[in-house]
Order: sequence, then C-alpha cells, then structure tokens
Amino acid sequence: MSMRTLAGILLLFSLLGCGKSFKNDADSASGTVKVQIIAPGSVSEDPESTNPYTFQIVELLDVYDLVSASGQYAQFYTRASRSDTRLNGTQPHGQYMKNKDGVFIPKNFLTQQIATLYYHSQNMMRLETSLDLETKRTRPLKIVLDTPVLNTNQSENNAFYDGELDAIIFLKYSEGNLPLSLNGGVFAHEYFHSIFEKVVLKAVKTNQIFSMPITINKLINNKTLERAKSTDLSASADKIGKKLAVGSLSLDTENVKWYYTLLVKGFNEGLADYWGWQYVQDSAFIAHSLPQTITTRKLDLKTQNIDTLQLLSEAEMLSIVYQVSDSEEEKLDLINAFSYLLGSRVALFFKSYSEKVQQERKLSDIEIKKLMNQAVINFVKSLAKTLPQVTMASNQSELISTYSLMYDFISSQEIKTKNECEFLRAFLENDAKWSSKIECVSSSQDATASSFKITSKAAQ
Amino acid sequence: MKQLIGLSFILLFSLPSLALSVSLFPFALEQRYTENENQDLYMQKMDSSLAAAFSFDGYQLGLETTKWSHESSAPLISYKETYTELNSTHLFLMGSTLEYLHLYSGIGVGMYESKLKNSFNGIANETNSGQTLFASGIASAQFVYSYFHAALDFRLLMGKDYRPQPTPSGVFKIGITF
Repeated sequence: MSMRTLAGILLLFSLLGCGKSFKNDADSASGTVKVQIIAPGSVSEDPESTNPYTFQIVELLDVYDLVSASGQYAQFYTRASRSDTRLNGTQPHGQYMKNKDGVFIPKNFLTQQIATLYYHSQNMMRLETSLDLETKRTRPLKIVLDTPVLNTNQSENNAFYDGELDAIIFLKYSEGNLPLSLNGGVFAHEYFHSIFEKVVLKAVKTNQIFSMPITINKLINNKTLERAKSTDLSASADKIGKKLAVGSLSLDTENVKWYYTLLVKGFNEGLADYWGWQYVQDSAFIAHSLPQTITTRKLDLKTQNIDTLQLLSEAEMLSIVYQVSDSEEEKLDLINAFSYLLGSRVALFFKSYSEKVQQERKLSDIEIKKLMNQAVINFVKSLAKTLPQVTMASNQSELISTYSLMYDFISSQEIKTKNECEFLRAFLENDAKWSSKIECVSSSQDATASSFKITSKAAQ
Repeated sequence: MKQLIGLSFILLFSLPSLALSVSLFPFALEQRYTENENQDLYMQKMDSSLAAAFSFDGYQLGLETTKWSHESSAPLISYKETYTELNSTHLFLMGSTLEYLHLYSGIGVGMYESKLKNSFNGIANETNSGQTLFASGIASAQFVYSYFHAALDFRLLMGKDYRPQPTPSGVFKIGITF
C-alpha cells in the first residue's frame, strides 16, 4: 500500500468514521434530565435558598431533545415570524457541559433561557392539569425568544402572551437586571393569560359588547401606566358619584364597550399578577427585571395608594370610561393603562385573601397554593359563564360592577373563621351597594365545624 | 500507565535525533469557522497556538498546543468556556513542486479539556469537561527554504463539543527548521 493510499484512508476515516463517536452528551439526552437553571428557591423548593434568584439543579421531565429543549412541555422558536396565525421560526440549539454528577450546565445565555423556561413551563402545565380545568391546550407550549413577531413599536424589555399564535413571547432584554425570560413570576403571569384567553376571552368572543380591540397582554406598558397613575380621577369620579347618588347615568354603546374592555382586561391582568405572585411568592416579582414597576405593580397597599383593600369604584370605572381622547387608539391606550391599575388591586385582594386563609387555617405553603389556585380557576370559569350573558346596558345600574364579580367569588368560598369572614365583609363594604348593609353570620349546622357566610342585614 | 508515559517521553526526546529535520513554529495563527449560541457561523481566532514538527522521509509528525475561549453574557449573567488542546498531527507527503513547496495530507488526534465558568449575580460556578478526544482531517501546503518553514493547513475538526461538526479551520504557521 502506497503512502498516498494510506493517507487517503486515514483522512476518510477521520472525516466519516469518527463523526459518530464525537456525539455531544446533550445530543442523546432525553426523558428526565438534570439541568442547572436560574430560579428562585421558592420555585425549586430548595429549603436552603434565601436569595430570590440563584443557580438551582432541577429535573426537566419528558424531554424529547435536550439540545432544542423540546419536549412534552415546551417548544422554542428564535428568529420567529408570523404568517397570519401561524408561527414560523427556527429551533434553538442549546449547548451544555455535562458535569461529573450528570447535570447539564448551560454554556451560554440562550441555553440558560431555554432550560429555565422549559422548567417553568413544566411546572405551570403540571399545575394546570392538577386543577379542575379543561382548557383544551395544545402541547407543547410555544415560546418565542428574542424576536418581535408582532407589529408593535416596542421591540424590547417586554413579554406577552399572543392569543392568535398561542405563544408566549419574550422580546430582547436590554435593562441591566434579571432578564425577563429568567423571571419565573413573569412566566407564570404570561402563562395565566393563556388560561384566561382559552377560558374567558374565547367564551365572550361572540358577544358584540366585547368587540373592542383588547390590546395584547403585554407585561408592562410603562409610559401609559405612568400616565394613568398621574391622571387625577378624583374630580371626575366625584362628579359622577354625585350624579349616581341622585339617579342613574345613561350610557351609550361605545361607553358600555369601553367599560367591559376595562373590566375584562383588568381582571385578566390582576389574576395573572396573582398567578405570578403565588408561583414565586414575591410581591414585586416584575421589579426584579423592570425596577421602575416597583412604584406601580408591587402588590401592597402603599404602592397602590390605598389604605384598605379595595377595587376601583363604580364612579372611578365610569370616570375612566368617560375620559376624552382624541383618537380611538389613544383611548385604547388609556383603558389599557387603567386596566393595570384595576388589575393590581384585584391581584392584591387575592394575595391578601390567600395570606389570610393560610394564617387562619394554619395551612402549609403547598396547601394554600392548592386551595387558592383552584379557587381562582373556579372564579375564571364563573367569569366565562357570567360575561357572555352581558347585554347592552342603557344606564350604569345595568352594568356588572367589579365588586359584583368579587361578590360572586366570595359567595362561592367556604369561609371557615369569623376573621376570614370579616376580612371579606370589610372588602365588599367598600362598594356603596353593600356599605353597612352586610354582616357575617355563622352558617354551621354542625357544632364541631365552623363556617360563616356574608348576608345582607335585611335578610336577618 | 506509568510505562506508557515513560515510553512517550523517551519517544518525544529521541524524535529530534531520529527526524531528518525539526521545525519550531513560534508564530501560529488559527481561525475556526465555528457556531455561536444563535447558530450563526463566524470566524473565531484561537487565543494562542504553539507548534513543532518532526519531518521524516515522507512523514511529518506535528505537536501543537492551542488555547481558545467562548464567551456569552446577559445582564447579571456571564459564561466563559476555555479550551486547552494538545494535538498530534500525522501528515504524509503527497507531492512536492518547485523543490521548496510540499503538499501533505493526514490526520490529527488530540485531547482537549474545557473549563466552563458561569456566574450569576456575583456567584460563580466552575465545571470541567475532563479530558476529551478530538480528531481532524488535514491538508497542508508547506514552504521550506533554508531555515525558513511556513505551513498553511486546512483542517476539519471533530470533537463532541465542537460546533459545527466537523468544524473547518485554517492554520498559518511560520517558524524555523534545522
């Protein structure tokens, strides 16, 4: 054999034969895979973790292909584009190093994102299937990274759920804090929007009253949010309040539509904020990524500029609807901004109620999450029954108020202690309709078990 | 294992006396066409490369060491993976033209070790890949005149952490031969 032939054979061997033996460890990883992600200790149930976000070793379940992080729970797209309602894009290639303990360590930021988001997606989907809820969700969940696939002016520092594409989209992050895609609370918030879309928004689609173009559920629209915060509603709310005191207020078709747009979007944002909070147990979870939201979205009374738990009053809601704007687009922007204000108060109620029940019944974190998550989902299901029945109101008394929705929620609750009941009564009494007209009474037939209900004083 | 290492040392130190010529390449420039995290291909320059070659009748043994790194970052997070490679090349003379220009082809077999340092919010972790085998197919054009030795290699590298697979590479070396 000549030297040239030998060299040729060796070259061929090196090019073709060796390729198979140089397969990356991640190429053959599937099923249950241990990876290192960045998450809060409350999510990964690491008892030693005190820092909100740290490196955590977790198990990804039902992974088909670790490199693209595709599996039963998530599928990722980069360089995405849309053609009508179809999402196109390329699957990212994750790069990992396997350590001596068999844990896959992401080697770059993109891989870190897909591994972390797969884990959150897995947690959200498993939580959803553990609840009494039928969303007819298609699996895996579609998640888009770093690519604007909407016709939007905003190209960075935001996340949203797109109902048409049925995908959670993370825009490029350029602020110097925790990237939105690694923020577990933000993911849970967006995931909740997908539940609300499939259960409530789908149900109201055929009702003309909900035909206003509800803007996409962006995590934040800071400009309009700041504007809403700086808009003083008190004068117009007082004026409307005085009119309401002497009679009803007539409404035109447009006003009714704007009212329900505000109501639905407010509850959608509020319940999504609650969902984010319950997942990471952090009342300022958005602020880890977008610190400016600490003054608007933190779930506490001080941030929400209120002394007691309350929603927007009927007069406040109407004064928002009556705000004059030059264009429909601007009006939509305004309604959108105020929906976050209503949303934060809805979220704060559910958070506070959750804490109250946990304290009164001495429940563990797992027990209260289970109880409250099902309660919230039952509320969402009741909204899907109530809202499609809404008819065109000719005056404000025919509108479904924020408090009447909450009354429905409270009525469906099993109230076990007097304190829980008083908490809920005090909340409802913020509405003029129930102020000083309701009380807590024992409804227990059995002497060993206590239960309470809220009734109108006249009923006694 | 000790015997193998001992034998390798004997072989290494006796190579110069067995070889027809020895070349040292203090200047070696290597560029690889590699893949970044977004799956874009780009030319990456190796941080440092050193090489030596022992030429026999129709066969050339090369020894090389190369260091290079990949970096990725986002706010609060950074990743740096550093590779250290030790490579042996086995080239066979395909032909010579103009007396000074020689064409070789052959293979390379080596080991690399990569260290990944990832940090988040000031907390850093280090992970080591351990020693991993890699191989390459090589075509080389070499110019030798008096004490001057220059080589231009085209390589296709395969290692389990290399992307794409195989990774094309170009190496330009200048050195002295004696």
